[in-house]
Amino acid sequence: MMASDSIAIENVSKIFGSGDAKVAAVDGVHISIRKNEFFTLLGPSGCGKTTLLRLIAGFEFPTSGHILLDGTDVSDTPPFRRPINTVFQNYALFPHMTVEENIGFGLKMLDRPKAEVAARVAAMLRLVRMEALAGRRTNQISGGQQQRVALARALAPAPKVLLLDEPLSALDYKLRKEMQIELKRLQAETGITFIFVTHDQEEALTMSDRIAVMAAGKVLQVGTPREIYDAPANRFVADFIGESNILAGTVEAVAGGVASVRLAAGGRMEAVAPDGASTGPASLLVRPEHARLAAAAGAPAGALVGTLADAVYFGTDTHFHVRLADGTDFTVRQQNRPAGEAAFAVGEAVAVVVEPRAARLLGEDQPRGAVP
Amino acid sequence: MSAAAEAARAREVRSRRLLALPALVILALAAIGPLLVVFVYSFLTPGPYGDVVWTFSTDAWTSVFLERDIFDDTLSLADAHMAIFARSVMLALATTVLALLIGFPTAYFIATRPERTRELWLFLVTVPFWTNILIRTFGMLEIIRNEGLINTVLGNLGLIEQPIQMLFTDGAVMAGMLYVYLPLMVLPLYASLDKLDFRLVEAGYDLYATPFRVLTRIILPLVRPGMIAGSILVFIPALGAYVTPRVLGGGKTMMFGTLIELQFGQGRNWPLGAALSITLMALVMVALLVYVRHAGREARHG
Repeated sequence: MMASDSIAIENVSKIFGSGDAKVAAVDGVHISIRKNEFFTLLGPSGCGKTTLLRLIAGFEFPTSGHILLDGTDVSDTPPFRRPINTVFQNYALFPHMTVEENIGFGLKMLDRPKAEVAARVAAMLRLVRMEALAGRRTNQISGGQQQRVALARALAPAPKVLLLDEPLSALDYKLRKEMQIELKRLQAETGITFIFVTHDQEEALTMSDRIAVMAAGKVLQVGTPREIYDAPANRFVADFIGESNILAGTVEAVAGGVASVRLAAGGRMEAVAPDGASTGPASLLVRPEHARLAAAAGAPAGALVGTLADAVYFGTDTHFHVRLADGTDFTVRQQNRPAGEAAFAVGEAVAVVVEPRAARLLGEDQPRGAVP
Repeated sequence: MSAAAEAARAREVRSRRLLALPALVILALAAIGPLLVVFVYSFLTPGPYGDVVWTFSTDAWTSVFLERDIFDDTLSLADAHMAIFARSVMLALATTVLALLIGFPTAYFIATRPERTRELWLFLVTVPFWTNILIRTFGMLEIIRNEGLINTVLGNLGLIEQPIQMLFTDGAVMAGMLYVYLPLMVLPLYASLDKLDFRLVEAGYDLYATPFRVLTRIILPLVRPGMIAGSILVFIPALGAYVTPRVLGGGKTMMFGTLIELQFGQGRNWPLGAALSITLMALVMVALLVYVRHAGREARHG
């Protein structure tokens, strides 16, 4: 691990059950999270992201591997001795305490002097803008307010790492957007490492410094939001993050990072190839916003042709669903312009023009069974 | 609302009250009636062979708390009665505290079992209820008497030469009541613990609370309604217990229940028995008022 690492997860596995019922909830995960980083664990439910978070918090202990906090092995340290705090999915606020008492609980358990606790609680109340409700019971405040109290409670003891377990999933859309901004602000102000668990890819893309995409207990890819979106490691990541069109084909040649692919749907396409790409059957990724529709007549040679199956109007853009020659569905997302642009009728033959360098050759998927 | 509608509504209310009449009659005859008889009897004069003579007298009430010196007629505190009241309250309290100490880990154990096995554990807790309390108490007697299970085993092992006197002691009465009333503590405690959100326990650990502090600062305050309910359910019957002190306490260690029985039996002083019964009820009422106040406060906290 490097000096700038806050958390290093070294080959950690967590196996639940025994015998035939054994399930590896976390399977050989190896990642390091830097100091003051907003790091997101992203994956579908049951992918092991919450278990990984619980391992970091200390609610579970790894079956094998090590977890290092600032270079110290904390794998066997109980949660009440780890300088790590959690914002729980349903907040888990203590119902028998007031807002103030909830926020001060951690410091009180650390046996800090009363005056220090009071000052810190007041500062936290200000930070999350809850001064007016300090004396309320936690069941007398709204969901968004509970969320802020949960945040203040976890931040009050000034932990080295803050864990957030889908903390926004219970909020409505507008409140969620507000809290996303608030979380980023708090992270910048406190300088604490945030580890955020979510299954919402949009939330992950907009908030994170780096994202780890997980499936079936394994980490499939770690990278910045742009890396994850533009250069997904494999088909699962491509499918999970954003919308994607996957085209089947055969790589005929690879040269200088560009693969020449003959498509099953007909035609040929140049695609950005990852290191170590070889010839043979492969999948191509094209994001819907990286293609546009053209009239079938006069389409350039090598363009994909198909039938327009459906057009869905979304306000800012329109989604065109094109059925290609081999039966693959291809979505094109085109920004709507002031009236006057040539419209395409459903049922019409159309051509799909993919922008240069927009197609990407996908790496091998994990072995079958590893990815649901 | 029109006058006709109002009249119809009034008729409906009347007919509803009429429907409740049978229940009210039974309640009056079965609950309030006998209590009234007891109350009236406590102000009468004892008859020579039990029963009562219909002459008003406050003697029974006086002798609940005070005793008249047989030589100079001065009144002093009835030491014998006070000692019995005190012993009853102490034994009932001790039983309640012990039931809480044993019942809490038991209920916690059941509440933290996997869903499927929990029902089996609860079922096992209720098994003693299948047998009559008298039979269970005689079972206890068989274990602790001088020629009983414990003394025989210890004697045969050569650990003791003389049997340990366990029967007819306060300890025996308390152990017997503890055994009989423990399920009444475990069940409401379980109900509270079952509702406890164990994520709050994790939140406590996360916020640097040691296991002991998680217990005292988070779990106990949250299951307090169950603790209070269980304590009341154990304390009230323990205070007025009759069978257990009679069988395991013998004639020596008297409690409220046995004292009352004595007045209606050998004592032939029905008014005193009635006054003692009402005194016991008053004590129970105080305990219940404490409970209602605590439970009420809990409800406001939600």
